[in-house]
Amino acid sequence: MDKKKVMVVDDEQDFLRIVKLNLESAGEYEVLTLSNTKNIVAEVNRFKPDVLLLDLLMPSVGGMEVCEMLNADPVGKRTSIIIVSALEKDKDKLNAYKLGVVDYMVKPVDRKELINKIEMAVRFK
Amino acid sequence: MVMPFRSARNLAFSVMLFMIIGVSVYAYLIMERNAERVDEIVVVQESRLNNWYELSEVIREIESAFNRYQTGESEVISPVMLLLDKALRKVNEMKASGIYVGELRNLDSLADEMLTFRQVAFLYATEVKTGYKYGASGKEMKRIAQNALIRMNELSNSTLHYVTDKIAKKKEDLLGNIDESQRVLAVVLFVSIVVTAGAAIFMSRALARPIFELVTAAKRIAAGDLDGKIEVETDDEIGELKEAFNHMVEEVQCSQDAIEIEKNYVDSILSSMNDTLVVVNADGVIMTVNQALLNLLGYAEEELVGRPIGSIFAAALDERGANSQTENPGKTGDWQKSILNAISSTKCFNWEVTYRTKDGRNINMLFNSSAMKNSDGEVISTACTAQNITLLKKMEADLDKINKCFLNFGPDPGENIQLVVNAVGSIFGGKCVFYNKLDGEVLRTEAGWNIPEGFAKESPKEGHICVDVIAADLNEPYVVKDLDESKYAELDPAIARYGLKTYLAYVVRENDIPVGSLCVVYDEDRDFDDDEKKVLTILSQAVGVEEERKKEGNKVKEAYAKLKEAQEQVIQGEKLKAIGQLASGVAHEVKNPLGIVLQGVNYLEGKLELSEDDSEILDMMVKNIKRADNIIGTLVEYSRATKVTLKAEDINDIIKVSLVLVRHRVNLKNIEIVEDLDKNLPSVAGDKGKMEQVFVNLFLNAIQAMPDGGKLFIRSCQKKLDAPGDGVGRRDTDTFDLGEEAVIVEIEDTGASISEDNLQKIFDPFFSTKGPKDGTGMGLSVTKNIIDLHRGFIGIENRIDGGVKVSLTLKIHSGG
Repeated sequence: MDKKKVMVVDDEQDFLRIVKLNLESAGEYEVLTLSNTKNIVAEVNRFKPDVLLLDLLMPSVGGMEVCEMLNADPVGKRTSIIIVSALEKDKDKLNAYKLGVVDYMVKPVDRKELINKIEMAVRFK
Repeated sequence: MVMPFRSARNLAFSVMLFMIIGVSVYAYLIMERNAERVDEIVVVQESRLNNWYELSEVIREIESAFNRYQTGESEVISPVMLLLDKALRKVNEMKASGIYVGELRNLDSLADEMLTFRQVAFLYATEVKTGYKYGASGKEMKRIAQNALIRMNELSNSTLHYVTDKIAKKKEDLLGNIDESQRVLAVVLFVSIVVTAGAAIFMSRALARPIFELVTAAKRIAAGDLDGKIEVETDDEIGELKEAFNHMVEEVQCSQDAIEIEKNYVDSILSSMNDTLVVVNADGVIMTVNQALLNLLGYAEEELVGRPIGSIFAAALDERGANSQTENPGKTGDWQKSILNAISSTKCFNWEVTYRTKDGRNINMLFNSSAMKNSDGEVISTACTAQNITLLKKMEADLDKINKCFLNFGPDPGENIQLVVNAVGSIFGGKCVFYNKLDGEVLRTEAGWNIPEGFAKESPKEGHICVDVIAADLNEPYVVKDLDESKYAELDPAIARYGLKTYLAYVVRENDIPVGSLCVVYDEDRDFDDDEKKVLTILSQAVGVEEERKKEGNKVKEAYAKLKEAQEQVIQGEKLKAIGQLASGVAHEVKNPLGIVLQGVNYLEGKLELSEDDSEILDMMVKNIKRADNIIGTLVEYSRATKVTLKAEDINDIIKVSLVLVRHRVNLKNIEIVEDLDKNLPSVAGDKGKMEQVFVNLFLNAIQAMPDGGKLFIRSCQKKLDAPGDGVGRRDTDTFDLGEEAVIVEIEDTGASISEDNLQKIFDPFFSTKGPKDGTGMGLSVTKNIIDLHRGFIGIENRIDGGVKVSLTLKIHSGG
C-alpha cells in the first residue's frame, strides 16, 4: 500500500520539523513541509497530498486565502484540509468549515489525536 | 325828632351807603370763604389725581422691570416683586381715601390684578429658575402675567381719566354756583345804588321819617336780620323806595340761602367722607370735626370742639412730621405748639401719625393737613384729614414677611417649605402651624412651627382633619370652628390636650393633585378676613411649588443612579474587553510554542528504550502543557464575558439545571445535597447561560472542598435588604438600596475552612487554594465577574462548623 501523502504548512520551522518526525515515525506517511505559502497551489499540484495540515496565521498569504485558492484549483479541490491553528474562537472555526476544511484542531495538538484526524480525513476523501 | 333835612339826608345817605357797603362786604366775605373751602376740597381731590399719576408710573416701572426679567437683562424677579408691593401699598392708601364709586371699584380690580400678577410672576420666576421644568405651563404663566400687566395699565389709565374728568366737573360745578351768587350780588348792588340814588332824590324832597325807617331797617339788615320788612304806607316814591328796599332784602336773603345750600353741600361731603377731618383755628383749638373722626375716636362732638388739637394725638410730631418718640407728655403748651407748627406747615403730606382714642388705644393714621392763610400769609385755620391705616400697616408687615420668606429660598425644597411654614406662623400666630402630607395610610408632619414637645409627627390618616382638607380640595381655605365640639375631637386627643378651638387650612397641591394641608390651629375662637385667607392661599401654593421641585429633584437623582449604573457596566465591560484583547494575543503566542513542545514530547514518547522515570517525566510534561493551555483558555473565557443579556429567569430552575451538570461528581464523592428552595420566588434579572456557569463553578468548588464527602446545602429565598454592607448602601460599589427586595442564594459546604487572608483574595484572578492539578484559579474570579455584570453581589465566609458559605444577592427582575 502506498504511503499517504501529508503536506504540512506552517510558518514555524520547529513545528514543521517535529510534526514531520512524528508522522514519519508512525511509518505510514510521506510528509512534505512548507513554511511559505507563496507557491502553495503549484506545490500542491506537484506533490498531490492526500491531506493538507494548514496553519491560519501566516505571513503574506494566510490559511483562509490558501483554502480559497485551493478551492479554485482542480487538484487542490480534491485535497482534504485540516486546520491546525492557535486560534480557538468559534468564529474562526466556522469560517474555516465554510471554506470546506474537513477538520479544525487547536494547538497544542497531541500526536495520537493528529494521526486519528489524518486517518479520518483520508478515509472520507 | 326831625333833623335838618340836609343833615338828615346826608345822614340817611351815609347810612345807606354804609349799609350797602356792609352787606356787600359781608356777602363777599362769605363767598370768599366758600370759594376757599371749595379750593381746599379741590386740593384734596387733586392730591388723589397725583396718586393716580404716581400709581401709573409704578405700573410702568413694573412692566419694564418684568420685561427686563423676561429678556434676561435682569436675573432676579425681586425688583418686580418690590415694585409690585409698592404699587399694592399705593393702591391700599388710595382705597382708604377713595371718593368716587368707579374709582374704588377700579382700585379693587387693580389690587386683584396685582395679586394675580404677583402670584403668577412668582411661579413664572420659579419656572425660569428651574429651567422650564414645567414647559408649557411656564409659558402660560408668562402669558397670564403679561395679560395682568396689560389690564393693570388699562385700569390705571382709564381711572386716571375718570378721576380727572370727575374733579374737573366738580370744580366747575362748585365755581359755577359761586359765580351765580356773585352775579346776584352784583345785581343787588346795582339795584341798591339805583334805589339809593332814588332815595336821595326823595330825601331831597324831604320826609325824614320814612328815611329813618329805611335807616332803621338798614341797620337791622346790617345786623344780619333779613326777616323784617318795611311797611309800604304810600304808593309814592317813598313807598316805591321801601318796596325796592324790601326787594333788595329779599334778594340778599336769596343769595344767603344759596350760600347756605353751598355750605350744606360741603358739609354733607365732609360728613360722608371716610377720612377723618378736624379743623383747628390759629391757636390750635378744634373748631370742626366730622363724623368719621368721632366714630374712630369714640368722642362726642362737644367733647372735642373747643379743646386743643393735641387731645387726639398719641405722640408729639416733629417738624418732618414723623411721630416723635415722646409719648404723650401731657398737654403742655410746648407740646401743643409743636403739633400745631407741624400740621400748619406746608410739608404735611401723607405723614404716618398716631391718634389716641377716648379709651386710650393708639391708631395709625395717614395724615394730611392744609393750612388756610389770610392775605398776609398768616394761618387762620388748618384742616387735617387722616385715614385709619392700621389694617394697611398689618398687611404691609405681612407682605414684608412673605417677601423675606421667598427671598430666602434656597436650593433645598424641604428647607424652603420650613421657611414658608415659619412665615405662616409669624403672620397668623396661633398655637402652632403644621404642614401635613399624606403618605399612603399615614399623615406625616413635614414641617411645623411652634410644635409642642413630644407631638407625634405621624398619625393614621383615618378621621384626621387634614385628610378631609385634602379630600375636599377646595379653592378656598378650610375653616373649622369649635374644634373641641367637632367630630375631630374624639379622634384627635391633641385637640383636648392643647385646648384647640379653631382650625384654618389650605390644601397643598403637587402638579394639581392635592397631597397635603398647610394648617394653623388656635386655642381661641377666631375669624379670618379675606386678606388673611389670600395670604394662606399664596403660601400654600408656594409649598406646592416646592413639593413639585422636590419630586423633580428625586427624578434627577434616580436618573443619575441609573446613569451611574450604566457607566459602571460600561467601564467593567471595557476593562474586560481590554483584558480580552490582551488575552487573545497572548493565547496565540503561547499556544504555538506549546504545540511544538507537545509534539516534541509525543515524539520522545514514541522512542524506544525509555526507563520508567523517563516515561513519568514525559507524562508530567504533557499534563503541564495541557494545564498551561487551560489557563490560557480560561483567561480568554473570563475576558469574553463582557456582556450579559438579562431576562426574567427562575433562579431555582437554573440551580437545578446546574446541579444536573455536576451530579456525576457529587455521586462519585459521596456528597449529600440538602436543598431548601423557596418556591414562590420572584423572577431574577439574569443571563441563563452565564448563571449556570456561576452555579457549576460554585458547586465544583464545594465538591472539591469535600474530597471525603459531606453535605452541600443550597438555599434560595427573598429578603428585604435592611442592613448596609455587602453591596447594600450608598457607596459607589453598592448596587442595592437599603430596603430593596432581593433574591438570596446560599451555597454551603462542610469541607475545609479558608484562612482570613485567603478569603480576602479569593476572587482575584489566578488565586487558588487548590493544588495545580485541580484548577486554574480562574473559577471564582470568572464567577464574580458574571455576578458583577448582573449587578449582584457575591460574598464568601467561613461557616462556624467548618466549611464555606457563599452568598449571592441577585436583582429582582423589574417587570417588562
